[in-house]
Amino acid sequence: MVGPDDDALDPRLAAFFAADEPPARDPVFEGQVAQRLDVRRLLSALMDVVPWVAAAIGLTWALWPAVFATLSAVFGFLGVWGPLGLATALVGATVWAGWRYGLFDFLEDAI
Amino acid sequence: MSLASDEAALVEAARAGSSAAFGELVARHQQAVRGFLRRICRNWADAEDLAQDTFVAAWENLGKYSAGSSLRSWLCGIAYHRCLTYMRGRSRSAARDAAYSDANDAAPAPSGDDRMDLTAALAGLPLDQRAAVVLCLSAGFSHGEAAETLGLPLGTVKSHVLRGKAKLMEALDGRS
Repeated sequence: MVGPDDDALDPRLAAFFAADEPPARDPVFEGQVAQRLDVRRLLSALMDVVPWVAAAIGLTWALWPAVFATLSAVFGFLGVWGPLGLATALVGATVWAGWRYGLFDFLEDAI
Repeated sequence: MSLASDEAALVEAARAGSSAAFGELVARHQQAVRGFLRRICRNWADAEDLAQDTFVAAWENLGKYSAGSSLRSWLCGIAYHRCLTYMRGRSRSAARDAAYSDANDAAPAPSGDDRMDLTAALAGLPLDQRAAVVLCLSAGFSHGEAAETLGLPLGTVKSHVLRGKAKLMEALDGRS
């Protein structure tokens, strides 16, 4: 193959360049690129969620004294499981919100 | 729908986040990008890695691509700059020697003296000249497209192609 500005190429030169030509379609290469992009999208989505998780943890920490007092009065049996349960609920709500607003849509392609 | 407008639609869809659209763009242009990198790197393994890097970089920078310009040129431009960075990461003085020896390690076994002579001659060209020769003589780029891809003046590209081709022909004809 030659560019539009060039004369016909010497056949030996053409054969030399043709030896390096990849196939027109290569599902293996395309799959490798797709995998790398999926990792990039996952990392990007996780980075998007980090501020929300940090806010959830901060809110839990700030509100816990007041919340614990109320929860202990209502649910005396909570004990030490209360903080874990509340933090889990907040993180779960954050992940659900991320899923609901399409942050993890690309995983459907990967699965 | 023409090929250009079809491709423009794929780019728009990819920008909106469509994995399938970007995958189709990869499928359409992987041959050109990988062929270009194989010929200028002379190390197929590194060329494949650089080709993957090129498409990942393209995905991250799709917003910078100007609709209406050649996507193939844009992708090869990214590939060229990736290769430049790759070459600079290696010892400057050993780059050409390493490329030549890597070509013997990683590329398919030469089929004849012609291939060995051309491999050595191509490896001996400076990277920008090698890239111009590969784009114009094997990838079907015009001098203008190659100049846009490589970020070089048009006159420089024409000169590179003329001199590069002369050196390759000298390697072929000088032996016979």
